[in-house]
Amino acid sequence: VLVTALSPASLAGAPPPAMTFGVVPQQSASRMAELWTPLLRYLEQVSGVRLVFATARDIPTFERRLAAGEYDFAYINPWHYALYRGVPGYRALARERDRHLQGLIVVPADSPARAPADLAGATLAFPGPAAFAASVLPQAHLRRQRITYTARYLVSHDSVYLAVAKGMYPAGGGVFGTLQQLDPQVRARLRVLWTTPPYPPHALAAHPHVSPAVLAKVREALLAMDREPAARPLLQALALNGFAPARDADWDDMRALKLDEFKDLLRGVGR
Amino acid sequence: VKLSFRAKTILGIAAIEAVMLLVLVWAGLAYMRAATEQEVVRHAATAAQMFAATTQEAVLATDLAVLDTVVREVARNPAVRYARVRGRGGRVLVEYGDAALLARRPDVDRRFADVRDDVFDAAADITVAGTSYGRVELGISVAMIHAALARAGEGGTAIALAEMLLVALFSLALGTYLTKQLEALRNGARRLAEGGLGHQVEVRGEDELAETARAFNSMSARLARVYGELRERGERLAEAQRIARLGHWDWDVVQNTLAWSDEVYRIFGLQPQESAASYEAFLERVHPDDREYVKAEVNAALARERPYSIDHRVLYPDGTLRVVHERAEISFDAQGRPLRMLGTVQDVTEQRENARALRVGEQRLALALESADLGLWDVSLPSGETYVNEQALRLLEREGGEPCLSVSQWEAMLHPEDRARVLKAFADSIEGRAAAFDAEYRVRTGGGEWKWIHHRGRVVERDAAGQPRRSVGVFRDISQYVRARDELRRLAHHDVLTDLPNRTLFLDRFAHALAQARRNDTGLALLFVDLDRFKEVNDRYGHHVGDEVLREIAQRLARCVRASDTVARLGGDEFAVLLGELRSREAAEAVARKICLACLQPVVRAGEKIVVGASIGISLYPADGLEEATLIRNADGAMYRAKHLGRGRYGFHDGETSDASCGGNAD
Repeated sequence: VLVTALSPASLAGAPPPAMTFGVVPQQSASRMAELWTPLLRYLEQVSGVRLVFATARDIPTFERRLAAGEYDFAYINPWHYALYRGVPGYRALARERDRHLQGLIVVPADSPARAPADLAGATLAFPGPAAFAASVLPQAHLRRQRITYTARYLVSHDSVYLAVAKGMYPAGGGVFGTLQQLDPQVRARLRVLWTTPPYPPHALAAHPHVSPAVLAKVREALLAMDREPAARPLLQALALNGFAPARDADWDDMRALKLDEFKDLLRGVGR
Repeated sequence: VKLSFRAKTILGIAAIEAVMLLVLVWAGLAYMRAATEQEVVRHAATAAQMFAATTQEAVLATDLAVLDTVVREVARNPAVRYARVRGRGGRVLVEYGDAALLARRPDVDRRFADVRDDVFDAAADITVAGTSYGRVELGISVAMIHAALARAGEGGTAIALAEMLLVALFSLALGTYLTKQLEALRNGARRLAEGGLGHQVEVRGEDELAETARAFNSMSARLARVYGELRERGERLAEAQRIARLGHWDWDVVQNTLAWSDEVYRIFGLQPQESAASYEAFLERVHPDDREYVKAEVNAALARERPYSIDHRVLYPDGTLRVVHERAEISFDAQGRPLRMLGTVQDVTEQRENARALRVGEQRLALALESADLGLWDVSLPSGETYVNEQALRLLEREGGEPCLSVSQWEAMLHPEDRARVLKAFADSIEGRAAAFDAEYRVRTGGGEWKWIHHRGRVVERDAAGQPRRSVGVFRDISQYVRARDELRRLAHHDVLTDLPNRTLFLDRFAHALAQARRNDTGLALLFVDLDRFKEVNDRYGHHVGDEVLREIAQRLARCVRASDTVARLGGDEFAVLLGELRSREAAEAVARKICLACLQPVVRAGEKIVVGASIGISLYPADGLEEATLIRNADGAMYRAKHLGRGRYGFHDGETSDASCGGNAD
């Protein structure tokens, strides 16, 4: 295969140059490659654009490469996309369909608190610094509102909910998804005090040098995926609902949070 | 190349051992090499895959720093000659190792045979979900495999050499043992060949060689025995030839070499083996007059015209003349040319002379038998074989039959009246009670008539136990003789005119009867009958009529007595009557009276009634005498007294005289 790929004959042939598709490191490179490669294959077949999976050892490396414009396409964290102001000027062309990032704060059902401000000075439970929606978003809002608190990380969402339900903590951070999967008896002892506004998820962006024709082809293939039976298992493997069209402005709310001002919060999720 | 048995054994075993061990070592190494190479290939593939797995994460993340560390670490392994990681599109990401190997055109070895430069080139793709993201390449040194194989080869060779040495030592020992034993056998065989028949070799142990030695000993013993027998037989043959005066000769016709046995020399009047035998030497011994004949016969035999079997004379230098008989057989080649003539020569001088003498004797005997018309009967008793000559057959009228006559055939021919007597005499002769058999008897000839024969014979041969083996006899026809003898005998004892017993016979019978009377204590009467007036008849009618009257009276007398009584003519007109077994005086008187009356009856002759009478004197035994002479004298006296008293009377010696006509005494 290698020899064939290097032979002059194959170089002189029709295959168009491959486009790199960089994916933000979330898991091990191998695990990500396993999940993303079939999806990229699908996109290749549908769009006719050759796509090659790429990733980096860690987020800083990824960002450095992003800054160097090494990826033609990139799948980027929402806060990265919102904060990113690099030279190449990647522009979002799609985002995950029907997905929002929304954090919430639960309190025991009998808690007297009625608003986040009621929690001032309290020690609050959060899953962990890497949990963007459950840990970062609520804390960012509390800080914007200048509500003081002490954060305690309990590793998992369930630990947070149980601790709050038992009254060990007056309140804790979470997301709707995990809350709904909670034991109803536990959930009954909890009350959602407050929710953050919804924020857009990961952005699928393209390097400015990618031609509009290629861009169009890739986008078309992406947007149609959730309707294609062949593509659905690929999306499911990545826990994606499919892709929807996106504009750069979709991430303006995220930019408004000015998360770069809370560097300690972002230490867990990068940057 | 002349090699000893031992050398052959050692060389043979060593050669086989060397070949086998070579094959074994070679096969072992080949197997080892194959196994090791397979192991290397598998190991290389595994190593490449592990290398790929190790580097996959870094390749996917394009983490060159990590790759550099990993690849350098891998390349540091002494077995790894180079390690290289390629990224997408074959781009070399990192490589470490032998520069020359890295510089050469990349290649992948699938099999061990593909190995170049002692390096096995292994590779593995970094593939995720069917998409290749890169490739690792490893060069694994196989030098140590060669080293291991070389070590194994050296080890195998060392073991093989040690084993060959051991085998060589063992075969040397075995060969030495074998040759030692064989040497003993060889020496034994040489001794045998030099004539030491019966030589025995030492037998040690129980193995095949010992059996061979035993077999050799038994062969040697047997050879000695057989040779001894042969020599003895040869000596006996020579002895037999000497006794039989028979020699043998062997003539190679092609080479003209002739060999004579010792006896041939002696027969030819020479000392055994004193001169060389040759055909010419042989002819020289032949009587000059026979030489041409002998040569002609030899040539005829060689030409297959007739067998060689001749008699010829041999002339000794001292003038002795011998007769020899020669016989020979000739062998011929396929073209009919004579090759060899094997013959015997026998001194037959005595035989020939004996045969001639026998022939003459036989001729004489035959002539004698023929001339005497003697039949010859020769009986071999145990076998029952018989021989009869021609005369015998003719005599017994059995011409044309076989010249034999069994004892039972002979018995059947015997006259019933003679049988018992003849068989007894024959048995006496056979059983030795009589020295010879001599009998006259009658036989019924083939023609059915009776012949008298005179047969004389005796047992000529008996075995050691005295049992008869052969009996020979001669016989001749005596029928004519017997007839003549009987006639003569009759003539001597009978009166020619009346055919009555004459005086001689009468006296004989009287003596006989008297002896019988004495023995039986019976009575006997003697009657003297004298015719009356017979002289007158002769004178008147002539002698012729007188004779007729006498014959008539004789017949009448015979009719007056019993058959057992005797009437005899004593001479002239005197008759005598002998009455045996007389019971009484009266019985004699009755006969006397009958005779008187019979004589008184007239005899009719020539128309004339001639009447004569008879005077009878009677003497009785034992009353009138016990001796013949007495009784005759008394009867004679009584007759004269009766004649005196008047004719036609009879009277007893004691004085009583009676007239026959009146039936009583005349007195």
